[in-house]
Amino acid sequence: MTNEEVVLIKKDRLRYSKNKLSSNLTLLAIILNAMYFVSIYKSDVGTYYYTYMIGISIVYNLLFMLIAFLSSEGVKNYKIGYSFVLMALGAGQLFRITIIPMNAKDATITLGEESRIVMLDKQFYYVVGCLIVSAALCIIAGIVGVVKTKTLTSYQEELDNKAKGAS
Amino acid sequence: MSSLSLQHLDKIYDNKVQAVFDFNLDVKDGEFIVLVGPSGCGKSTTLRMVAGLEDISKGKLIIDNKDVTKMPPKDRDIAMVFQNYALYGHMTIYENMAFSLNLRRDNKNEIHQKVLAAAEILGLTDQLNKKPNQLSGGQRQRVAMGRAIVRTPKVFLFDEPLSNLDAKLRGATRREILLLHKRLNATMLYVTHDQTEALTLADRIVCMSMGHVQQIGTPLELYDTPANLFVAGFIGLPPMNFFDVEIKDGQAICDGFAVDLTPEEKDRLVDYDGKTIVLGVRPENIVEGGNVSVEVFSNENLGQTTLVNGMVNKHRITCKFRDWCNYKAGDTVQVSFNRKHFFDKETGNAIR
Repeated sequence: MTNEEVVLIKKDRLRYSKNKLSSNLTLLAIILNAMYFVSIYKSDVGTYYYTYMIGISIVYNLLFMLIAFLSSEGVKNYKIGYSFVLMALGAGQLFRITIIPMNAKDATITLGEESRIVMLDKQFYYVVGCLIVSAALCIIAGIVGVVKTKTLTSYQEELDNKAKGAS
Repeated sequence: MSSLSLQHLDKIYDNKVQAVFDFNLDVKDGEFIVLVGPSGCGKSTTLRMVAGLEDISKGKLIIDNKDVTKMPPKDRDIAMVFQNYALYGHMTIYENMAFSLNLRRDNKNEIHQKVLAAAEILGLTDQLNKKPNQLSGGQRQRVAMGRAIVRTPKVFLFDEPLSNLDAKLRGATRREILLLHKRLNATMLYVTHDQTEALTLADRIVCMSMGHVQQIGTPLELYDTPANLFVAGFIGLPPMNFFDVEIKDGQAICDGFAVDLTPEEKDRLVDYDGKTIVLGVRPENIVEGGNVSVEVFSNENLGQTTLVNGMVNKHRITCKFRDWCNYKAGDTVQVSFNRKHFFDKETGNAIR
């Protein structure tokens, strides 16, 4: 098989296989997002998180999981719109680092007589890591989705043109 | 493709029930063998022994000069097509066809080429992205065949693949299987209880009953020169008519009629003079005009032919006439036999 043939077969395979790579990366991103919010919500820091911000965070997490899951199904079927949604979700994950983790990192709270830092370095790096990896996975899934969808679309057009030419 | 040899195969289940007795068969490279017989005759059990889905109690199974009797199914390089298709409902047709190759971790590009080639052969190219429940029964069966083809196995096994299809589709799919065999020139073992399938598909037929092989031969041999009463009665539609007759003075005498024997038949039956044997006559070998009186009780017009069922004295008889007939119940029609088969009454074997 020549290199050209291999490239052609790879393109042709797209017609019969789903974009499982993007889909699986997205599902992984959802898991990492879950690891992030579980770490935040289980923090034993008194009433520090009991603000409207945590409510928004909960709603966002639910929306993130829902939209990411829908997008995972969408990109699986080569719908390019969902690829852009995934990239936007990825950017959103990066932006979230600046909200709860960055604020909690330097914040202190008094529990009884004792003054404590809300988010120790260990937890900070953990949650930031979760968000960064989750963001990266979403963005990669989106980029892979765009590339594969465009490849498939142009290949389909090529085939359609050939078929028209033949007829 | 490969040759196949089944040597003295026996199948005895744990409860001591023996399903197959001393099965011997040599299948040549590229040959299409059909195992035919009534339900429970051991044909599927034999096929499953070849596939490795049933243990072989005694005997040897040789594929391509290699003893595979104890070899697990996956190592035998055999593909089997089942009656119920056995497709994965959650996978597309493409994924179903590629499944076994993916399990083998073959190169994805090669798998793709094989699947497309098989789909092209079977006319499934436009269906590859569909799920099995979106296809008709015939198409599903073709997918099952496609899944077998992509593996390029040494031997194809078919276990009553057309039984789930309606009559029209069965005919069409049967022709497709025949074309497929010609195209692939593959060694195929096919199980059916439908004699039409057996006669139309087979290079050779193995006729079985009660676990025993009754006769192995070409379709014409089984139809024209059946080895015994069972084969004579099983092959042919409608089945052969049988009469107990006494051979006497150059005639076969039954209560109600007597038929003259030809010189060749007299020679053949010289040892049976004065004895009772079984006379077999195929419905299509009965013609109007003669000295046998049939009292008609039903007349079935099939378009090109007419089946006339009636009684000759106390014996039931079915005649297949070429013309469109309009006999009514109670009519009498005179017939004669233009081809006769003779069987030993005690052994049931054909007298040749």
